[in-house]
Amino acid sequence: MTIAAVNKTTQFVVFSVNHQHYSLSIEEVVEILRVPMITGIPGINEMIEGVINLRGSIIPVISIHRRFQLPTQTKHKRNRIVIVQGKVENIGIMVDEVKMVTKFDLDHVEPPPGLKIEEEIFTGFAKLDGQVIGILNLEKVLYDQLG
Amino acid sequence: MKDFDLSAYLGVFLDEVDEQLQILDSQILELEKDPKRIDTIQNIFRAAHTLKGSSASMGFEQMKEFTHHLESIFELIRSSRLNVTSELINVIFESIDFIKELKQAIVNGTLETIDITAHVNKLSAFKNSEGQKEKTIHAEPHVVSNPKHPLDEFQKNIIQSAMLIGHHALEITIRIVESAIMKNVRALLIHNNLKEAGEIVATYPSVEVMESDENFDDELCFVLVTTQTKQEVMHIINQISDIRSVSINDLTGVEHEEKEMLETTVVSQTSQPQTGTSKAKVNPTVRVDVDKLEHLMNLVGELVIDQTRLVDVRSRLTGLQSRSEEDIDILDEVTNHLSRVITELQEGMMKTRMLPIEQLFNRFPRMVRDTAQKANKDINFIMQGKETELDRTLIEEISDPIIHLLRNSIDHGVESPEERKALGKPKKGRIELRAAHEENHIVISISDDGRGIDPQKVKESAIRKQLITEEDANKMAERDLIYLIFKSGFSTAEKVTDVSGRGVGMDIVRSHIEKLNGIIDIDTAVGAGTTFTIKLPLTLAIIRSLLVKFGSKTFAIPLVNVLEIIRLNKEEIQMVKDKEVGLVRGRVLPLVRMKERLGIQEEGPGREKKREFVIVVGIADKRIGLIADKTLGNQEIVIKSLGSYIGSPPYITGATIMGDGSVALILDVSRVVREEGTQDDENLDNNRKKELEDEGQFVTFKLDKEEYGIDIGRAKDIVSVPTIVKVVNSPKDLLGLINLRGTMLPVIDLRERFNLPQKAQTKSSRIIVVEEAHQDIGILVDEVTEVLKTGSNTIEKPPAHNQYNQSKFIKGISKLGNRVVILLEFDEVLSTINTEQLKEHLNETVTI
Repeated sequence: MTIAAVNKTTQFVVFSVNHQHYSLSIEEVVEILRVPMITGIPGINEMIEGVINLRGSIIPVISIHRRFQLPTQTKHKRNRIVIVQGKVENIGIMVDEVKMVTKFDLDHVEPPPGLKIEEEIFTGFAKLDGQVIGILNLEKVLYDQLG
Repeated sequence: MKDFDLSAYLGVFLDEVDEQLQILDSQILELEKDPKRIDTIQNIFRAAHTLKGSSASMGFEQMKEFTHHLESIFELIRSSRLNVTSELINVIFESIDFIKELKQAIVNGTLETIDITAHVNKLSAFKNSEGQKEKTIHAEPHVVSNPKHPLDEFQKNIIQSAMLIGHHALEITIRIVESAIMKNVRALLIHNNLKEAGEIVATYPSVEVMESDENFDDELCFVLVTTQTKQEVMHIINQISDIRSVSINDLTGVEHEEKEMLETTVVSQTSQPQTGTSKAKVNPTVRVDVDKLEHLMNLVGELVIDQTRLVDVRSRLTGLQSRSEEDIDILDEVTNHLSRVITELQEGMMKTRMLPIEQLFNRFPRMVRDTAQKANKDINFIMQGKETELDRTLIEEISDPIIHLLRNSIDHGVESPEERKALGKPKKGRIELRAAHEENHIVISISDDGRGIDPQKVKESAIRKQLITEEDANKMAERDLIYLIFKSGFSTAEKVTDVSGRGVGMDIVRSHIEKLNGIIDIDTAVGAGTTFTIKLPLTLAIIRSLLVKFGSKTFAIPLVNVLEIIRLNKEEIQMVKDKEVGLVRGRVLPLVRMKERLGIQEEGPGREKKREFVIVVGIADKRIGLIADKTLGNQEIVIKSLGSYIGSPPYITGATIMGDGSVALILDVSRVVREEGTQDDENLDNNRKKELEDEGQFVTFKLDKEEYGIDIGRAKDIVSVPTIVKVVNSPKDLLGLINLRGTMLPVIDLRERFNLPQKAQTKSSRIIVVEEAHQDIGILVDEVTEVLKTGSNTIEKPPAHNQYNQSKFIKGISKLGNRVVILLEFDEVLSTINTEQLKEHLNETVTI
């Protein structure tokens, strides 16, 4: 996905992780849940927190904190799981808080500043009310470190 | 219209082709055994004809053409103009395979590209060798005009054979209303309806003409072979509108002479049981898309989950001591009823997925025949339990392993006829394939009466292939050696044959079966034969499982794999070669601490427990014990995949949803067992066994502060102290008699014996019943402590010079940590009591 794909009509789900704002295109998001009981699975990739039961389906949940190697946050009432469409199945992403659903003005979206890591994870950065919001490259976030 | 028909009926057509091919396969095998049997030939002929008919109606020219040639061969056989030779049978089988290819080509849409001439020529070779003129047998009738059509030889033959099995032939003449539109469609509809009622032998005009709508007048004529009456047929035809008149003429009477003539020749054969496919008794069925069933099955799975949740909520509500007890009663009732209904629904759904294993088994006789022929073996193949039903997904999955095992039996198991003769065995080898239900499992066994598996050969081969070191192999038990054939890269065949011997078989067979949560076992005796037994759960989607906790995590263990749950004391868990083993009834059980194996980290320090829950699980003949923190009970669980994102983590096969909505993981028992297996348990087992042989077991008890032990073989029973009846004029150390399940048992006071001060009986006082030659004797002790297992190396001999006279009572002293247990030589203890005298004394007393 390039910046061109971020057209004016797309809406974004904005959420925070470790006081940073990130966003995902609403097309990629299936639903947003409160955090149910998560069953950890021993012996798998660290960034996968575990699995949850979503109306009878088993959905894996990854932790953005662990994906970005951020310090783990304590649990909070406002924690949410954002269910997104993976390549094959739906996958949940644990976030601290879902802030809003908003449109980004194309003029305010900038390409990643050139740092390699950022280029990989973000498709661009949007400015909204003076805040910088990273637009996540979902595929990279989900599959790059899967091994 | 034709295109539409094609797509809609292709599935039905392919099913029918499959069905008919299977009939052909099995009936031709029959034919080979007994070429003279009329009904076999009839069945074959009918199947071939149906094939031709249906492929023609679907417009698959190549297939029609080819089946036509095949049919004419059968025609020759039927009229005894062609002898059944094994050469011919082979060509027929090749032809059937070719039809299968054609069928596949239809599926792939590549039918047009297939050239049938080579195969046709092979068939024609037989026809020509018998000097037959062919192709005239069944020319497509292009005669349109004649309403009372003469039947050709071929059609007469069909009618005759149909009459033999109780069908009759009807000539049906139908006139369609002249003004009707789309006459050809109506004609085809009639054609299709009649096809349901029986077999259409002839049609005037031909189906092609009907379809093309050219040269088509209003009159249709069919010759139908059916079991239905004229009235029934009439009714079928009248379902279609715009029909002016119908006349039905029974041809059976016309051909009466011929029928009688035929009957006289076959009367002896028809009295034989009909093995054929006559449509007499078939339960009405509906063909359902597997996906639809799959979907329903999933829904039932959801229901099962919801139901367990409801039960869970109910139990929690009852716990809350809610004020509205009435409501809870209602909830109780509802959940109970729901459970019942769901259980039944689940069973019902499961049954719809069940198919008789016949479907699978029917493929085997042919395969066995071919394989045996290639391997130059003479084999009598017997199948039993064809009607056994199992889940259709299982039928697919189990096919390959069975084929492999059968091939192995033929190739490696059964000896060549010459060899068998020399051994004094019947020339024909015997291979049996059985299926049966056993509780919630299906058991499939494949046995042969061949040479059996020689553990020594297996051993040599395994060493040569470096699957195992010689040293290790020497330590292994014979039974364990045989199981080496499941190691990958193993094959004992001296040379690789076309059939088997590539060394990539048995390990795949095993992993396949384990994947299905099954177990495979071998039973073999050199010279007498081998039996492989496969045990599988009836279905894959829903299984019974044991829920346990490893740490704080809940895991489900398929109940198929669980043999028992035991508790082991800390002392019964020992370290051998840095691995924990448990001693269970004299057997050594490798133990796995699943919590650690899974890498479950727990907050808080783990408590050292005195006793551990051990779940004994088994795959094939391997047994290991899994140490769990808690067992939660049995539950039906619905297996769900973890999905591709997570992949397949070690030791976990899937997940399931619990009553409270949380997710529990399903343990991959086979993986754990396999891992343990690779770590040379066998040796470990043997080492431990040796140690065990020197080991004794003792019942230990307390008198005062001392602990004593007596050989467990001597202790018959341990009972709490009932009232003891004093006996007059008895020796001082005889306490009296007790009533032990109806017999009088003398009890001696060991304190008195050992010159210890008397002490009042307490709650923990027990009487140990000791076996004695003439009379069992009870001994009163202060407390029974445990059953002690101790190796002879920990037992010390009592000091030789001992001033105490008791020393002869003492067999040895066992030191266990800081405990000292005095092991008693019980014969000595009792020697001062003349048991015979005691018995007499006792009898006297009782009779007085």
